[in-house]
This record gives sequence, C-alpha cells and structure tokens, in this order.
Amino acid sequence: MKSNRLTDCFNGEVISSSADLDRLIDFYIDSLDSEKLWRILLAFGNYDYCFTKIIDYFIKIKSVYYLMEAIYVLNDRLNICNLYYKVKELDDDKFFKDFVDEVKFYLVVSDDDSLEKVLERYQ
Amino acid sequence: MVDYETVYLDLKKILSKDRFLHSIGVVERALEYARVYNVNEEIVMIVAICHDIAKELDRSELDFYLKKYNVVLSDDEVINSDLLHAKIGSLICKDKYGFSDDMVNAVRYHTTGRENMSLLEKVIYLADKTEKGRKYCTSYYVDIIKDDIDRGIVELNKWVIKNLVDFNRVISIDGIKCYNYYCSKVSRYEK
Repeated sequence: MKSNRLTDCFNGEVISSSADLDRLIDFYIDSLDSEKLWRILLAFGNYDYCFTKIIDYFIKIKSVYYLMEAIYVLNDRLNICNLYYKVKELDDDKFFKDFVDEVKFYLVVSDDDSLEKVLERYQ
Repeated sequence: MVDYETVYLDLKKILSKDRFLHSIGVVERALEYARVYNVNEEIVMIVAICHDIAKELDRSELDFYLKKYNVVLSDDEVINSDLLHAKIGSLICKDKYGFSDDMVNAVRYHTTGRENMSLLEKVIYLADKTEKGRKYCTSYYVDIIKDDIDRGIVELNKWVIKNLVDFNRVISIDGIKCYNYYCSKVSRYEK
C-alpha cells in the first residue's frame, strides 16, 4: 500500500498534507496552468490521493493532450472507463473522437468493440 | 495547425524567464533568416518559440517521456543527456501541437544540426546559435549566414566544435556529420 503522506516539494513549496496539495491544485486551475497540473500528477501520482479535480479540469478545457498525459502518468490508478463516459457526456463529437483515438492507441486496440471490452475491465 | 499565440502563451508558462527570453531571441533571429531565404514566417516563429520546450524538464519528467514515446537512446544521448531535450521536445511538439515532419526535425536537430537539412531546419539551428543573447554571437556570423546559409553553418560549426574540444565536451555524431557535409558542399562550390 502506498503512503498517502505527502512530504515532497513542488515549485519550492513543501507539500506536507493533502490540503496543501489541494490548495496548489486549486491555484493552478485558477491560473489555467495545465502544464503545472500535469507536473503535479507526475510528482505526486504515486501517492494514494484523488486527482479528480485535475482530470475534471482537463475535461473541462477539452484537452486530449493533457488527458492522455494524465493517463500515461497514472496508468491503472486512473479509471479510464469513468473518464471515457465523462468525455462522452460532453456531447462534443470531435473531442470525443480525438480522445477515443488516443485511448485506443494507449490500450493497443484497433476497433470500438475491442475498446469497450477493455473498458469493461475498469468497471 | 496550432497558432503562434497559443504556443507563445503555453511556452511562457512552461519555461523559466531566462529560457523564455532566449526563445524569443531565437524567434527574432529566425525571422531575419526566414525573410532572407523566403521560409514561411508563421511556421518559423512557432518552431523557434518551441525549440527548447523540453530543455527544463527534470530527470523524472524526461524518464516519463522516454517511456511514453518508447524512445531508444543513441550512444551520443547516453553520454550527453543534454542532447535529449531536442529529441524529447520534438516528440512533445508533434504530440501536443501536431507539428509536421519538417517542424519536428527542426526541433529534433536544433542542437546538433545534421547532414542535408531543410531550410527550416537550417534557420532554426542557426537562429539558436546566433540569437542576440549568445555571448559569442557577433555580426560576423549573422552576416555570413544571411549571405550564404551553408557557409554560415560551416563557420559556426567550426566555432562550436573548437569550443567543445577546448572544454573536453563530447561532439555528437550528427554534429560532425553536419560539419563534414556542409564543409564539402561549400568547398565544392568554392573550387
């Protein structure tokens, strides 16, 4: 079991609690700074911590690039199935198609049927 | 494709102030060369501002991208990890901004140069070496580059290689091939 105690530094700030990290995440969401949010994922992705705010932000700004960065960082710690349906709910066909294409590449599947079978495993 | 304003704002957030100023310097110099050699200015600006996108990644971030993009390191890159930023940067630009192959190569080879570069590659490579913030950059090199871009590569390479030797630094294979290629090309015309 990974520790959920955060004692690392980020941009010179010492992060010693979930509240510290949350504050930092809020700050970078307010600053519209996707790059820093991705770096937070990379720095703290191995901790037992919820990164939903960051993922929801990447969905809100419709950034396929940063969503995929998050998937690559968090791997199995991120429920891709939930993410898939959140993106689908936006009802933005282009964004959804671009996202699905990238997810297929990540999961090494070529068609929609295979993708759904793989996603079921995450449910 | 992505526009300059988008990448400008992105890079302003990603890079430190000094690195960003260097990138702006490269944009300015690259535009000078682009106008002389008739290269698409918008593309030149986009590539120039992005050329050091991976320069300030730390080790864990570089490792992340090596894994993400399945990068196999060359012998040069194992010895000199400084070269890695160009390769990783080119992959990020392709992934994040949809760079074309020519734009990708311009980022990929902006540090070392290589044989038979496209005009865009040459412009970015030379602009990086001759931007105003570089201490060694004098009008001598800029004038040669504007007069004959291939001779500019040779003259600048002489300086770069001499310095690498003086400071006991490794010279990349691509850098040596670049020098040999353009040296023989220029000498052929001068004979």
